[in-house]
Amino acid sequence: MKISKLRVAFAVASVLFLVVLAISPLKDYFREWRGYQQGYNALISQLPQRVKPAEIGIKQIWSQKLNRIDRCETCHLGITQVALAHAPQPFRQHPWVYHDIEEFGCTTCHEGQGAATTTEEAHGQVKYWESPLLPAAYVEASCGKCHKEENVPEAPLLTLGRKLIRESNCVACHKIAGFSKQWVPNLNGIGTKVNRAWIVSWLKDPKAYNPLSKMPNFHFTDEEANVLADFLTTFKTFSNGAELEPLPKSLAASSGPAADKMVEAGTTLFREARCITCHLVNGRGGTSAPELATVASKVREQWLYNYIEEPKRLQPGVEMPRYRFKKPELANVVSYIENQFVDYGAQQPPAHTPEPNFYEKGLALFKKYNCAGCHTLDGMQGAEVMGPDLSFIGSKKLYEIDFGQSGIEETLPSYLFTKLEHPRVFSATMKMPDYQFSDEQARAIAVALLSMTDDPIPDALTIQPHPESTFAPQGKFGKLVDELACLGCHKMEGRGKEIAPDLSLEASEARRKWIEGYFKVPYSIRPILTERMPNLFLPDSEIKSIAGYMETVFRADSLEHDIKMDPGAIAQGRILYYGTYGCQSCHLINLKGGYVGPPLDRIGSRLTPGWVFHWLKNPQAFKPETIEPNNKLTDKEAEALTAFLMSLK
Amino acid sequence: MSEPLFVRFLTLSKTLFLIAGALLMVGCSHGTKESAAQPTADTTLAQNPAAITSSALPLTYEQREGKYFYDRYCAVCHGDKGAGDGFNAFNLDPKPHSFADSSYFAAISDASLQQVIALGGRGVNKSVLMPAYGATLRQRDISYVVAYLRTFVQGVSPAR
Repeated sequence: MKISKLRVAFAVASVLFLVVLAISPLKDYFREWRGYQQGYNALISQLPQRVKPAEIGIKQIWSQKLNRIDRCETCHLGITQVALAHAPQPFRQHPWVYHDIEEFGCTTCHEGQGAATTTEEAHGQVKYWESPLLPAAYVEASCGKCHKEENVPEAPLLTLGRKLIRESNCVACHKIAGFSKQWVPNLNGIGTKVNRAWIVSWLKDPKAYNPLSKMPNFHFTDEEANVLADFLTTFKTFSNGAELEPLPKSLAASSGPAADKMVEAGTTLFREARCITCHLVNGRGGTSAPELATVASKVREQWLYNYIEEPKRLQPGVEMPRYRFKKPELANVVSYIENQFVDYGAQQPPAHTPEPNFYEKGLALFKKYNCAGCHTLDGMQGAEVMGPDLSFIGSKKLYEIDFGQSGIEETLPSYLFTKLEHPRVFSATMKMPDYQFSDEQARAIAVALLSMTDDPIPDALTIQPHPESTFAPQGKFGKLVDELACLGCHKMEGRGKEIAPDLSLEASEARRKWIEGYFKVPYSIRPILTERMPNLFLPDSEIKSIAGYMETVFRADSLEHDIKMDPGAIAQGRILYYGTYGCQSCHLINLKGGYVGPPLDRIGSRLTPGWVFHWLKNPQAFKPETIEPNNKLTDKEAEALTAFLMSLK
Repeated sequence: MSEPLFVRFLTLSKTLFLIAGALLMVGCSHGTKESAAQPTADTTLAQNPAAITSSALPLTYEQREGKYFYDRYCAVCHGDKGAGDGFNAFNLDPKPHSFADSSYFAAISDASLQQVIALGGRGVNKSVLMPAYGATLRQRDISYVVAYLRTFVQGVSPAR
C-alpha cells in the first residue's frame, strides 16, 4: 500500500516535472516571428519565381560602424527580394535606398528597438522606449543625422525644413548648431520713417500688409500693439546718425500740370528700373523685397526720397541697389510712388493719446518677445537664448515634454509638428510667435529638427556643410558690387544668391562688347522670367570698371576653343540643330521655336565660341540646375553646332 | 545533453499534453492572427489620426522624387498635370503627349516610358522635339519620373 501510494506520488511528480520542463520549449515554439517566417515560406511558394525559402531562426544585421544590432530581418524577410516588391507587409521589398542595408542596419534610419523580437517591442511602441519607429512621413530626418549640409537633394523635405529654419531666423531665439542669424531691417529711425497707425496694423498682422513677410504674428492684443507702436515711434534717429535731406521743391506741389508730368516721367523710370523684379506690387512681381502696393501710406515721403537715393545709408546691409538716378529723376520716381501706391481704403486712425507709462510698458513687451533677437535697435539687446536650445531636439525624451491639454498623440514628431503649426497650444504662457506655416512647411521643419540628435555618429560617416565662400572683391569693383547689391541676385565665386546667373565665368561666356551694351539696355535674355535685370542707369565709367574686372577675374582660359567657321560645318550644324537634336523645341530663332531656353538670335554676338562648345558638350558642368539635356555630342558635332550658332550674328 | 533529452521529452509528452497543447495552440493561433493584422507602415499612419493624419503624404518617396524631376524637366511642355498643356506646348508640332489619356497610357509599359525619356523621340522613331535625358538623369531618377507619371491616371494598371 505504502509503496503504491509512493508510486502515485512519484507518477504525479513526474507528470508535473514534465509539464514544467515543457513550458520553455513550447513558448519558444510559438514565438510570433516563427509565424511570420512560416507565412513567408507559404507566400513565396505561391510565387511564379523561385525565391529561396527562409531558414527558421532569428536573423540579424550587425552594423559595426554604427554599433547597432537589428533583428528586423527576422520578420521583414523580403527586404532584398525583387519578386516581393508588391507583397504585403512585413514581407515587402524595401524601396531602393542610397545605402547598403547590410552596412547601415535598419534602426539607423527607422528608429525602433533593433534587438527586440516581437512586433510591439521592435517597433518601439512600448513604455520607456524613447525612440519608437519614425512615421514614414518623417523618415528623412534620419538622413540629416549624417548629412549636415543644408541642401540634400535626395531628401527634399529635410532640405526644405533647413531652408525654412534659416529663413525664419529661428536662431534669433533658439540655439541651433549650424545656422547663423539672417539680416533683418533695423528699427533705428522707425519713428521718422513710418506712421504710427501703420506700425499698429503691422504688429497686429504683418502678412496682411506683406504676404511674403518673414515676420511672424505675435497675436498682440490691441492694447499691446498700441503700446508697442508708441514705444517704437520714440526712436527717431537713424543708424550712424544719418540725417534726412530735405525734399526738393519740385515735390511740394501734389497737383497741377507740372506734377502730372513728373508722375508720368516717374512711371517710365519705375518700369525701366524694373522695381518689380524684387518688389511685389499688388501681389505680382518678385519675391525678395516687400510689397509696394500701399507703401506711400506707410512711409513718409522724405524718407522714401532719401532711401531710394542711398538705401544703405538709412538701412545698412539692405540688398537694394543704389540706382544712379539724377536728382530730378529721383523726384519723378518719388512723385509716381506717392501718387500711385496709396491705400485709398485706409480709415482715418482714431485719435490716440499714449498711456502715461507707455515707454516702460512698450519696453517690457519689446523685451518679453525678444524683438531685439531679430531687429537691431540702438540701446537694446537681444536675449542670448530665449527659447530652448534645439541643438539635440531630435533626442528629446518624452517625459521632458509637456503635452498640456492638447490631446495629440504623445510622440516627438507629432509634438514638433503641432508646436510649429500652433505654437502656443500647449500652454498659455508660451511666447513663441505664429509663423503661419502650411502643413508641408511644418512637417519639413519638424523633419529638420528631428535630425538634430545626440546619436553618436562616427566622423567618417558625417558629411559636413561646405565652408562658406569668403569671396570679397576689393577696390572699385568691390564698392560697386556692394552699392548695386549684385550678390542679392547673382552668385560670384560661391557667394551670393541664385536668382540670376552665376557670374564667376562671365567673361569666358559673354563677349565684352555685349556685357557693356547689356548694362545700357538690360533686355531679358529669357522672356519668361519675372526676375529681370534692372536698369541701374550706370555711367559709362562704372560699366567699364565692371567689364574690366570681369575680363581679368571671371574667366577660365581652359574654356577657349578654336571653331572653324566654314560653310560645310555651319550647314552640318544646322542639320544637327533642327533635325537631330530638335533644339527648336526649347530655343527660338527668327520667331520659330520654344520659349524654355533663351532665344538664340544674334547669339554669335553675345557668346564666345569656346563657351558654346564646352556648354554643348556638358551643360550641367557649368550650371548643375539647367534643364538642357546633355546630348553626349562628339567633339565634331559640338564644333559644327557651335559654328552654326556663331553664324547667327 | 539537453537537446536529446528535450527531443525525447517532446515525443514522450506528446500524448500527455495533447489537450494542454491544443489549448495552447488555440491561444497562440489567436495570437498569430492578431499579429498578422499588425499595422503595416501604411496603416500605422491611418491608425494614429490625431497628429499624423494631416501629415500623411499622398505620394510615395519614389513619386515625390519623380515629381521633383517632372516639374523641373517635363512640365514646361507636358503640363503640370500631364495633360500635354505646358506653356511651351503650343510652340511644338507635333504636340506633346497627354498622360491623361488612360487607354493610350495604360498600353505603354514602364520600360517603354523609361526608354522614351532616356533616348528621346529620336531614339524611339518619334519626333526629335522630345529631348533625350539618358545622359542627364540617372536611370533611377527616370524610373522615379515614370512612377510619378502613373499618378496622373488613377486606377490604371500598366502593361508589363
